[in-house]
Amino acid sequence: MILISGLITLLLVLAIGVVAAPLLSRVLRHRAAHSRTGPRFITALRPDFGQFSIPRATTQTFNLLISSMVVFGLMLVGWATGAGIMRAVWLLSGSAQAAPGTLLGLPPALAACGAGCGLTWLVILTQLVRAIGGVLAIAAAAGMAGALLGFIFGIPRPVSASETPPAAAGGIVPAAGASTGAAKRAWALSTNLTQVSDWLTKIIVGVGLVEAHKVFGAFTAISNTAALWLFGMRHGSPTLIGACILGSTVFGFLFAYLYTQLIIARLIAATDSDLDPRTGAAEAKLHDMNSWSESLVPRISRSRLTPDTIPSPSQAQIGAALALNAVSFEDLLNRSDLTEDTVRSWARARAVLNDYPGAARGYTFVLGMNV
Amino acid sequence: MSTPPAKTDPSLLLEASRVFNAAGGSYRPIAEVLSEAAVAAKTANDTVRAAILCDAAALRLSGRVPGGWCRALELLTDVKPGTSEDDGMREHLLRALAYGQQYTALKAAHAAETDLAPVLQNIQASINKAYVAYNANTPKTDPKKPLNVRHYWYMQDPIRQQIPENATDPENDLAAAAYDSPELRQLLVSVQEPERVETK
Repeated sequence: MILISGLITLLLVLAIGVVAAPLLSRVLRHRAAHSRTGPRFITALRPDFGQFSIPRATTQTFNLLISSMVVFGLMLVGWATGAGIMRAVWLLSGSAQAAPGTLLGLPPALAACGAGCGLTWLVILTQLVRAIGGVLAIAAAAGMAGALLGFIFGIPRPVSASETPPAAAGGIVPAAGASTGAAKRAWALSTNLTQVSDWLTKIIVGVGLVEAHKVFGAFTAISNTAALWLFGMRHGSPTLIGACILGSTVFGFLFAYLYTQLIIARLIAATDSDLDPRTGAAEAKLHDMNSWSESLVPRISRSRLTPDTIPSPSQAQIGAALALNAVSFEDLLNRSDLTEDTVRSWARARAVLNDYPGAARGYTFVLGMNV
Repeated sequence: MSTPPAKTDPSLLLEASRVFNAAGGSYRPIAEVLSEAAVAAKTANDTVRAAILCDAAALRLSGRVPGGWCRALELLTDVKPGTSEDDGMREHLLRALAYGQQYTALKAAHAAETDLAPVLQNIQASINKAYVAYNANTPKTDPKKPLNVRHYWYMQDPIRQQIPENATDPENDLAAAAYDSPELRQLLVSVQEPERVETK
């Protein structure tokens, strides 16, 4: 009877999962599409790197990681469901040999209730919730620890002038027209966090290498403790809890590392360029170009085959365009001092560099068109 | 489908229409809409206005916007002399092409020689003016920039060989007139390759 109750519960859980998952997915997608204050975290978890001018392959790689994490989480939930039901069955069958009042045992009144009592279902349900919740909490904690490491390892560090390799060695060549004075900044981002990240990274790697022989013992102790308290070391929990901690840490690390490198680094860079007076000089340089100038954009020709010889932009104009080209459209729109002239200069930068579809985005915005 | 632009700044519309045109593909219809909006905005200075009108005329001559050579000539009439690009050459060249399309249309309609002759004269006059404007400054400021007319009449031109034979727009606006008039042919050769003519 108890076994049948357990099986029925398992089937119910699976059925609810099969029905609820697509429904939940549809609801979330619908809310994301129709609500401005929808579940932003879903969007944040699945960023579209196309907006950041990063190749599509990066988006796919990131999505693959997210999908792997979801599959891993579902596997953990599946195992926890089974383990929770098995534990409930084990407890109700009277096999549990634990002191009364402890987590491993049942209260005497409930144990005396016997199979078929309504409380049987309550026990199964609570054991199920306990198992799934416990495993997910362990996974979340391990994931957070991995994410912290990933963030520390992934946070970008600005290159100072003294560290910049010379141009002959492949270093960055300053844009033409950018004077030494212009290179000095009135404001700079705080680098405290990056410095701490730098120290921590070195400390973690150094200490990790020295203490490597103790890592396995500590890991085994943690996973065994969790397995003991959650499942009484039964149902394969020592192995599975260990796998849960390890997998979640790795996934957390990868996710945070990539997220930091691909998104947070860009946001920092965008803010940095927002503070950089060189962007303002570039905007002014591009703003001065004549709208009919063919070094900006070729004229509309009678022929589709023979565009007239197009004059090249000056070195200063190319330098200004390159300086603005480093700013993505999304970052530009997030600027606090955004004006139409700023967007127009940004679009001109794209046009000077022959990125006409990119420039078209800017002009669409300036013209207030909905393309 | 796109909404009309909210802004009416002619220089912005000119710039945007050229960018959308250069972007190609699905952007091109937007370029045509913006070009029309720029023509409607009449507050531009002479240089910007000339560029806008010449772009609009080019769109009509290429058949991307309805109106053909007739509307193209009307637009070019509004261009103030010497204000179009390349020291005014662009206006005269586009006018020559428009007359060339007019000649081709009359020829297809079996028009009389008396109707064709004035059009032929208009073509020659426009080519001459384009050449004069071109020679005024362009060889000094941009020696590599040619007065490119060969593409519009010379069937052996290597660039125009890329056009398929059954193309809807063969871009040979001056071919019919050049075929009928040796004088025009000689003029076209001389403006395109002055050195070659001088050495003969």
